[in-house]
Amino acid sequence: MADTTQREGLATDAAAVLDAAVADIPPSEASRPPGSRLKALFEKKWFLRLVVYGGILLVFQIIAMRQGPFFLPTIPDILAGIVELFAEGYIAVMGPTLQQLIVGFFLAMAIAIPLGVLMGRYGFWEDVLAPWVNTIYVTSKESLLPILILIFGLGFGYRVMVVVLFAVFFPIINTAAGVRYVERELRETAEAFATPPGRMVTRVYLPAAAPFIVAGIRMGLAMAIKGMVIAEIWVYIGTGELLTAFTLSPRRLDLYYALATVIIVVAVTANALLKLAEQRLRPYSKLQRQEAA
Amino acid sequence: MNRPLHVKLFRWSMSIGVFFLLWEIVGRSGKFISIVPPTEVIPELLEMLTEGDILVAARSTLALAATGFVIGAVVGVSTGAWMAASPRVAAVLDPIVSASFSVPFAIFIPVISIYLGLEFTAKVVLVVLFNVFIININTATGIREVPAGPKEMARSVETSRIDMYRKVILPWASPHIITGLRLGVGRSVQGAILADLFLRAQALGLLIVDAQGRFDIPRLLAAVFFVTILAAGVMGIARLIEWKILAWKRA
Amino acid sequence: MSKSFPRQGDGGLLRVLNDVNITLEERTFTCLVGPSGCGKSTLLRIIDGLMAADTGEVRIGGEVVTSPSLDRGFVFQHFNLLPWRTVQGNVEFGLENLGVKKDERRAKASEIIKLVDLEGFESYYPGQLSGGMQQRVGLARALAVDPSLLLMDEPFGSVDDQTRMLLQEELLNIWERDQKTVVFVTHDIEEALYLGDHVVVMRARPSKISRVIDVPFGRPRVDKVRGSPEMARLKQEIWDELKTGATVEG
Repeated sequence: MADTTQREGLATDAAAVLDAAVADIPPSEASRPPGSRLKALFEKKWFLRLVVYGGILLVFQIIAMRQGPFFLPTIPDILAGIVELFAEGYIAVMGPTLQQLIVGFFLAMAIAIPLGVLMGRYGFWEDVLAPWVNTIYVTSKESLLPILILIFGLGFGYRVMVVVLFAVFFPIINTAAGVRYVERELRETAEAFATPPGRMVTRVYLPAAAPFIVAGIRMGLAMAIKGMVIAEIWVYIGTGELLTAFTLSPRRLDLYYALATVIIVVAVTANALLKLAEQRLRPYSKLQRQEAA
Repeated sequence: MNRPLHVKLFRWSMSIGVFFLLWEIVGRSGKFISIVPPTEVIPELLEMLTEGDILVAARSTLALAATGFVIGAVVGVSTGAWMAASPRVAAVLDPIVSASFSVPFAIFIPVISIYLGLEFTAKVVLVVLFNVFIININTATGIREVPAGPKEMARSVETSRIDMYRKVILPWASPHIITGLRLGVGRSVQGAILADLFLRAQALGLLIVDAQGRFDIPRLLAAVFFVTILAAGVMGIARLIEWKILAWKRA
Repeated sequence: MSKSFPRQGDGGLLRVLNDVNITLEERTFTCLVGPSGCGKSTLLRIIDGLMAADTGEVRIGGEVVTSPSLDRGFVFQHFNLLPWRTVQGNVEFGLENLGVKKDERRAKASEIIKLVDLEGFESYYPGQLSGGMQQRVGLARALAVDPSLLLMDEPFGSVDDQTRMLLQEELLNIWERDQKTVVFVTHDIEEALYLGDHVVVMRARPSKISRVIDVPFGRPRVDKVRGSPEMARLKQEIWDELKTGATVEG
């Protein structure tokens, strides 16, 4: 039961967001003969978003101009800040940060996917590992940071392990769900056709479970980034240190927002790339997602 | 593929037992100075429980989680319903909801204190940020997935818009919404612990930070252990409540 | 009082109905038969007011139909029961919108439930009922508001053959009582002939009315009619009609 409801949540996480982002305003609304050209414009998504988000940026700018840079930097300030980050070399601090992220992420995948396969394929492994996966998944992983510090100190190892801790759960759960799906639906069929074990893996398991696995990897990456930032903020090193430092004295909110923007861009881009990969697998993945839900 | 319950229970206990055994062995070997065996941690935990501080702290953090949950639930369900009902609102708010999955909100921790202080308000906001998106998405999906048939039926007997929501749409979507709320409970607890650790160490967070500062490792491990069990316990209760509420679906 | 519907319906980008003109007499049982995609379900919904026609209009008793009304009952192919309500609760659904008081509702619903032969099942949930029973609930719900027009969209399409024949008989028994005007959509030719006073044959692409056949069998219908040579002849006629329609666009 535990995995079903978690899968519900995860399927909802990944699938619903995917659907919501991809679906368009229903054609019946859009193709209604417009009373005027202006009204039709209000049906277009990009226009609505432009108006609303543009408005928000405008309000941001106005408040910034009135309250002053100690409270809120103006948008030109933030943009100049981005330039300054690069020019002054602050941005270099992201180097080791990203390095840890990548190492941690791949390490997490290397651990998570095999574990997921084991858990999905063999009831034994699911039973043995389930208490751990389920308990730590629901608990506050941040509260475990002090323990990681105890074991790994404050250096590279600690930061990598935090990324691993955060990133590892979604891929495990999703991979297990994918493999379970294959077990249920396709295995018998493949066996009936006397498929040799090697082909079973490449022609049956992997393609069928791939959408699940990729979805898990994508969410794992998002969590990895989260872990990376948290790890550094907690012990005041690296990029996290920079972010925090910019909000203290001397307060440079323009640089803070600049750095935050850069991080957001990196995170969203990485996520979008993986989403593209996931969408490539989409044509037959809808069925699997319904299975998962 | 389905194992009987007693087999599962056996394997669970074996797994947990092996872990504690290994922990004990590693702790005693003295190889890692910082790992203290459970035989020292458990008594410490029991002592903390009888002292009572830890329970007071737990209550405080949970109160924070509850407050954030209630606010997040109201905001999440209403915006989710609104987004499901109006494609335009959905078009505007979708990017934010999608972003919430890839953007690490942790980057805003340093700046929350500037705008909202370090006290209760700031912490509640953090908890709400944690739970509102998952509740919103589940609500919106639940409502969107109400099939056309029942809605058509209701229209054929002149059901008013309000009644349509009250009698058809919301009941049909309620399992999804309730699942979302359950997930929101978990997120709220996580958010509250984070807030009590990072924003300003208080309650359970303070216990951990304090023990860390004093290098009182048994106490630190006991506190973390307790927090983990507490979070898992709350989630377990939430799942039970969900199970009970959704009983009619199994009829 | 007669009902006339000259109209043209459009299902989005796909033209579903084209130039449909038909007039019905009240208190008659009319069946619509046609292949999938001929628009018979769409036509039914336009009559009820659930959908709007692009051109033309539906007039009932001189008034134009613009939206659904409690004066018209609709029975759905997939029942569309609310799974969290009991049989009683589902049957009362339409009554609630009439503003009928609780006790009256309960009484009226019980009466109808007895009529469709579900007495004793009032507190059962749809999930506990068979397909045939669920559809009886759907029928009861539509009848409970005492509409003057009853529209049925392949109501027996989701149940097995034997249940279907039983339900057909029961429907006729119920209908004999006060002989409401009924429009019954089906793809089953025999069902159409067994139940109806008139059978309207529709064609697909373009969707239009092909023929209207007056059913010669007397009322009340006897089961023997099913096997009669007359029935076989009419079935063949209609089938031929549908086939020529089908071959027009290959």
